[in-house]
Amino acid sequence: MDNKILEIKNLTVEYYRNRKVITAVNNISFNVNENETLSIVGESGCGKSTVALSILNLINSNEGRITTGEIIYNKKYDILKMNKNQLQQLRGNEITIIFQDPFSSLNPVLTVGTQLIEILQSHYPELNFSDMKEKVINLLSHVQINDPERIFNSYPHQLSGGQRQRICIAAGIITNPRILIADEPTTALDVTTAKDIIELLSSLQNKLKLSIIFITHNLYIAFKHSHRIIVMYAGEFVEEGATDDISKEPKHPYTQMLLKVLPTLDKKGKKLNFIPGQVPDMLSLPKGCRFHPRCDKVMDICTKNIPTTYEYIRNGIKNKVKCFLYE
Amino acid sequence: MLSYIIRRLIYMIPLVLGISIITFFVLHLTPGKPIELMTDMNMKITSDARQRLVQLYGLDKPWYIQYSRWLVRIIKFDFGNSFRDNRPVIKKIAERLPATLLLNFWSLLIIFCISIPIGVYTALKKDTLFDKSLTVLVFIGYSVPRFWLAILLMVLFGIKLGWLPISGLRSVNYDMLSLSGKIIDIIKHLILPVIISAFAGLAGLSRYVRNSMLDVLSTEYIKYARAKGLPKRIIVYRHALRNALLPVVTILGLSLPELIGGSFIFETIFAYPGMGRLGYEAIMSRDYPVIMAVGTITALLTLIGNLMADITYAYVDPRIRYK
Amino acid sequence: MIKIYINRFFHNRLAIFSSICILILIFIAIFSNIISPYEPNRQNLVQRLLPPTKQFIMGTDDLGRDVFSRIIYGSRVSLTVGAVAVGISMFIGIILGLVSGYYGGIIDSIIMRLVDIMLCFPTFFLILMVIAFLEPNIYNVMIVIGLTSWPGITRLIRGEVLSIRERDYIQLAKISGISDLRIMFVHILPNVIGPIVVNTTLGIGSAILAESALSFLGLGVQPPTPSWGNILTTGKDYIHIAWWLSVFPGIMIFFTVLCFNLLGEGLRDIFDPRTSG
Repeated sequence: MDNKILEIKNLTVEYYRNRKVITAVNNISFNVNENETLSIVGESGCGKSTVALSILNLINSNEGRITTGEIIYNKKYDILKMNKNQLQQLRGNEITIIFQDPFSSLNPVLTVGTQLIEILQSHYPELNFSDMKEKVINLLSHVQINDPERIFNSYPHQLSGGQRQRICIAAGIITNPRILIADEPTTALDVTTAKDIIELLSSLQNKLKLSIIFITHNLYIAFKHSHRIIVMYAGEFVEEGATDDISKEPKHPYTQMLLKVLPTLDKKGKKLNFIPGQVPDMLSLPKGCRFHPRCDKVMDICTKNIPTTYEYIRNGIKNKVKCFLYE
Repeated sequence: MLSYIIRRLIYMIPLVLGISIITFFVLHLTPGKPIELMTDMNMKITSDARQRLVQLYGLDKPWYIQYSRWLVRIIKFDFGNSFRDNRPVIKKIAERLPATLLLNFWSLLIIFCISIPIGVYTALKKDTLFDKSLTVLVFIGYSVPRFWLAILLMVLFGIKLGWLPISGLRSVNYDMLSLSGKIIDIIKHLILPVIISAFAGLAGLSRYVRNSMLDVLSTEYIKYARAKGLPKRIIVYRHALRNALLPVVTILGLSLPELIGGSFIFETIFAYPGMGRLGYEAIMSRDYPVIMAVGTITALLTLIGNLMADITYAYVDPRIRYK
Repeated sequence: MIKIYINRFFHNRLAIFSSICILILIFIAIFSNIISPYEPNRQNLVQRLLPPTKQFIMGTDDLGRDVFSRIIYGSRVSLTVGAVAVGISMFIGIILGLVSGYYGGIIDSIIMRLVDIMLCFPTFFLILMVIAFLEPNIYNVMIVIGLTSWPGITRLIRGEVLSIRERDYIQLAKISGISDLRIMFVHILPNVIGPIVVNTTLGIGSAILAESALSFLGLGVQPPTPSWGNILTTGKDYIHIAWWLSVFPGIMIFFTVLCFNLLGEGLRDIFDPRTSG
């Protein structure tokens, strides 16, 4: 049943900060299947964006580096071993990405049309210009942009936030990629627009049969629109599973707390919950399980050893949780 | 965009006024009456001429009348006559101005053409040997006293090696040369002054371009461009450069005063027949009408240059052009 | 806060190296009378225009004076002019910049117009113009250089103040009723320390260049007081036969200004908030 289009194995990424080195992502492994939406969920700073950038090997050498890991694309190629040409062909073409803030993603001095057409020019140079332009304008209507001709010739500052994000989405699907990585695509938008964007992404995923890696700190969004979810904490993998399983029976204490924090209708009138404590300082991580200081089910072994990963299969989907509770 | 230009023009008016005020103020800064200073130095002036001067400058009238007269005369470009040879000042300036403009034009061109590639490449190849060695050169450029460099180069290329002429704009036998000979002659005379003029400007601008480029290269949209799989060439030239060069236009405008002002010293050293040397000679001989005129015109030129830089910027940056 | 800067300073090789050189220069300036082998103004017409020898390390000038001694004493002129001129321009520039940036409105408009107007004039020409009307001596040189350099500083400080002004702790201070003066000098000014230090250092370099140019043209420090610039004046006249008169003073100027520029650049890195190592 599983058609792995992306396999990430033992990915570890280090960042340089203030002359010190932080392990932003520690030994993460997971797979992405064809035609599914996989959400990576976690608090700010847990490393999920770093994972996204690593998939396309976009970590700036000034800021950090990928120390170990393999990222196997299409069961054949290790992305981390690709040379510059191969990477260039892969990026924006077979695997695309959209970032959190559409305003800073777009170059302010170039028209939106230029920024879309250049993707085609770089990856499909054999097309002629008017064909490309036609394709782009068609695409703009598909992502629900009105008056695409006018928008084509506009500059980013002349558009609204929602329009800009749609442009970025258009850029992300124009080459019919296999995988689209969406790094917190709605965080910078207001609630109504965010809803539209997410539904757009969902429908595109269905129509185009593409895989989406959806990165968010909003568990609710993850539940609504993904097939599987991965939860991260402080740079590490914590739990992975089908959305149904995780939303109904979360296994890891952290995931359970995240769910409790979510305000829902049945909790109306009661006090809002929160998770006690703070995200750990990456420069001085706790020994053993990184979550143990905040865990309500902490055991003695958690303070000393790193938890092992426990797998179980439910409905044909392999779920995982990294916690001593399930030894 | 049009409204932007109009606003800038309106803004310029108080500046022009201000220039006139400052030049007027400087003239009357001298301890003692200006006329006495002027005439004491110059034996040829008779007491009749003195009186005429006093009346001409209206020095017997209250200051606001003096100033308004001065203002009117500036607008008419009437700066009176030179004390040295009694010729109209404006004529003397008109003779010398083209040479200075020629010098500064070429200087600017060279600065532009060399600094920008240097700035871009040192940014792209940050912290490599190339970057570091060029940085060293830049610092040397900043720190060398230009008049000293002028003398050294003059001695080296003009006297010891004899390759280049060391004074003036044209050789003595200029009129006898063919057209191409004339052009080459002028070029030969221009080489050293232009190099000196451009030298310090090169250092500053290439540093500035480098910093601007580095800023741009760390932006989100460049990261996004890489993520789109665009070839490096396109990322650098289409995306990065266009943004990095925007502030450069403004800086160029701001460095115009230094460019024009720097001329003063080495025009003198090279006996170059430009406005700078005219100003210097006027200062040494206390030829006040010329001094005031040179000062005012230099400031006005700078103002115009700044305006053009601002307009260019407004044109090139779509955020301003399509408000 | 200051500890961070001091810490960074000692990690920055550029800053340390150039500071040491500058300290050496200051030492030379202060103890000129001990270091210099001869009296700088001692003339000896028999020993005119001698090339560098063991007796006169840098040769003699047209009046038989030892060039080396004159260069040593010249450091006093350069460093003093540099310090005082920059002091004046910083003083004016910081005050005007603070006031302009903090109060905004019509005060800001007036001050910035004034700055714009002054920036239209080429600095050096302005200096020349004013000196031409005054008597050329070291005091006037210091004052004039100082009085023509403040516009750039004002603009810079004002820019910084504008960005700091909106920060929360300033708003809080205002609401708590702390006086404007106190806010400006106790709260805002320390945050602008970076650009101030950097520009002071670079400014000293520029001031030294300006003074030497003026002295070279005969409008600055007058002989017999030795200044690196006015030695070069003589040098120019005797360039064919006495190269040492043109080379050594120029090298001194270059070296000194280079040290200040390098220090300024090093300081810039130290105070740059973006430096993460």
